[in-house]
Amino acid sequence: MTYTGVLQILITLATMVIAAVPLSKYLAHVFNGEATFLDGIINPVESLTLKFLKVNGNEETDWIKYLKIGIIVNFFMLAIVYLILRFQNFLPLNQMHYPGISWALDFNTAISFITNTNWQNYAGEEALSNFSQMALVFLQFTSAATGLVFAVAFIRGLVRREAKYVGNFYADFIKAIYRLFLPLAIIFAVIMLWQGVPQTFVMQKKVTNMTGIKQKLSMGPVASMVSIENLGTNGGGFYDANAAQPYENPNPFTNALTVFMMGTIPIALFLMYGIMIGNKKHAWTLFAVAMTLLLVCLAIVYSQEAHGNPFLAKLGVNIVASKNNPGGNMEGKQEHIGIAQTSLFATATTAFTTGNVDSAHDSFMPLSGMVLIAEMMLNLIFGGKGVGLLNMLTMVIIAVFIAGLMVGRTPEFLGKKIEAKEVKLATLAMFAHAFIILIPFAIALAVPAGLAGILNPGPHGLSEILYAYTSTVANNGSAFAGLNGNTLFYNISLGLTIFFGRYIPIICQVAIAGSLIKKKSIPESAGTFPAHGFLFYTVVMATILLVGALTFFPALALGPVAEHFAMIKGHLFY
Amino acid sequence: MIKELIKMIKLTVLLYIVCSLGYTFLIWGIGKIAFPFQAGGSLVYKNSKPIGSMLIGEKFTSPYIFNGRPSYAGNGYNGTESGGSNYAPTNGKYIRHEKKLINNFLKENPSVKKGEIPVDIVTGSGSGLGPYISIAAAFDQVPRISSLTGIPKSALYMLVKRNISYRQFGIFGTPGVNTVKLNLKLSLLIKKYNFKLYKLIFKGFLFKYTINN
Repeated sequence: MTYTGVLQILITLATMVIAAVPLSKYLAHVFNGEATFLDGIINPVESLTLKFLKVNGNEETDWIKYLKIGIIVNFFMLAIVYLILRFQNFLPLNQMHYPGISWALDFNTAISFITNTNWQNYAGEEALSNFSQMALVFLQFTSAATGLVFAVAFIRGLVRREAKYVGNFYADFIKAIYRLFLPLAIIFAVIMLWQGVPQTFVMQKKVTNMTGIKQKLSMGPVASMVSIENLGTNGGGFYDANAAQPYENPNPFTNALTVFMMGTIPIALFLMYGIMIGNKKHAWTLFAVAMTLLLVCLAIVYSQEAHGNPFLAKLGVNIVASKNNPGGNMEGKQEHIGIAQTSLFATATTAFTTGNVDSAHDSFMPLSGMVLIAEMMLNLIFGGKGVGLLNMLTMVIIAVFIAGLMVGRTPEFLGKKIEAKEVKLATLAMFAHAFIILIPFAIALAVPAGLAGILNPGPHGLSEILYAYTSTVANNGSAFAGLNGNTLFYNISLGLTIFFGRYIPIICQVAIAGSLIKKKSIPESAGTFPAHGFLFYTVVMATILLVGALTFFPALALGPVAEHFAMIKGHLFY
Repeated sequence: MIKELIKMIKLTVLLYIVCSLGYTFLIWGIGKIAFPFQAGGSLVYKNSKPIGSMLIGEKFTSPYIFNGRPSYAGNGYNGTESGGSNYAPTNGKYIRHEKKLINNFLKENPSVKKGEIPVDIVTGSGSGLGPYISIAAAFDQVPRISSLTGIPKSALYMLVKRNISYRQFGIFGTPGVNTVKLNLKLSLLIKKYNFKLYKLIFKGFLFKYTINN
């Protein structure tokens, strides 16, 4: 670890928080239907769109209908993209004449993108036409907007008292795209272009290098994808190596900017929640919980990666950083981007469930790998679009319930009684997440088709499979890429875990909102447990750590922890 | 219900047109007008022929020029097959493979002491296409290149120093050297000091170049 390394990490994080504050105010105005500075341009377009759809934006629905419309719309979007990928050979912008992709891979890919996961069992530059890549960009917009509007519906459930309706899905969805994702995507795509990310419809360029070697360069409309894949915390890159490919992430500045794109909106959503419920202190307390977890994870990853691989040191490699030598664990990392930026990127991509990678996570040190998996298991360190906030609030409901039990009072949260129904739904959401990770993981370990995909021997192979199921259920999409996921077994099983991992928790969570919205508000009294401050922080943090540790620790102990201790003892696996 | 379904289908089609087609073409247009060099992949031209990209590393394995990092993209720096080794730090096969890379590096650069091998020059980048090596890795190759080409060491050290990419804005990243840029400049030095050798090393290129013409 170096001072300059720590400094550039802190500067990037501070910029994100500073930018999130005004963004959160803007978003609260947007979803409360208040005036914003973009109204002059966007109001006419928006009302035209609603007129075309024949939707009255002020006509609200209850949570069941809101959810139903959202999920069916998701299904139509999935269908369009499934067909485009399957029949890309009949469609334009396919200079390389790539054939349509197989049904199993297509099933996996389409589900993966509609759920904001962006798990990739295909290699973008070797399998997809530009037209197909552009279709995925469409899902990167809509899946991010879906997560966001469900979170907005949940917040309205908390805010409104003795009400029934949570909002109009179409109006919210259009707002999320027109007023947040499209304008930002355009701005950041142009910045990325300026920094060297290509945007062309040429798919491949053949050149002869100065030494006479022939080289093929893959290109395409990359800049437009890079901005929304990160702003929408989607993460599926244009290339197989995602942001490790210099065309997606040409320099250290774009690396920091990519982290900025991933993290600013999720942080802003925490703060937006505080504004919408009228309790900023509460939101800042939850922000503090998430930020503490992020910083701890970052510290572990950075120190492990900067320390480097002891086996290489034994062979005569200098792994200590100095003025001219980067040091640390450089396997799978870009030299100019460096250890500090790469550690920040890896921690951020798993915290904000983006899944975009700028390095080979499979080659990380065992404990850093463990932290990356653990972040996705928790899935609430700011998290993906809307979903991270929902997971955090689910955990808060459980925390409030446990605290209520300890003092023997009916638990309350933001002036509403938390009763059996809400606690059951919250528990279900939480356990569904754990079960959908661990059961398929256990099955994959027990069948030959599961073990066949492993690249690295020993406990690391187990980590590869654990990473895959955790990443898909958490809708992250990054991978220990040594695992070969493009087999029938993994395409189908990972496709299913993505699907259930996304929709079961989200249905439970919106149902909680539907139940809370009907409730009366109870006045605060001396016995009310305050939803902010140090005590609340401690209770929430303890719940997260206890629930997380108890559920997932055994699996982590068998994989990365075992590998770490073996490494300290100097043991290699063959 | 059917009315509702029609709304949903209309929403899907509309957003597909806006977010997939409209948006991509808009950025493409901006790139065409404002950043044509970057939008086209930052290609380097020699005599108006593209010979590579400033951003993508090349298979520099000849001992006469600055070598890049090992690459696992296809059979090395294949721009259509980005990917890292994905080897775990505790994989025995990986360590055996590293032993080979390290021995090769020491054999080619006998001036480098064991224990001082820069870590980046014996490990692969995440995509196998990264063009950068560390400053130490570039310096370490100077004595070899100097003895093979006859260029004085001081001129080569100066060349490396002039081509260092420092931290961006003084903050972001780790200093490094872009091998594509460095070797292009080196080729000019070789031309100046040792024209015979220049023709030999870059003959393949010149040959193919004239044929393509």
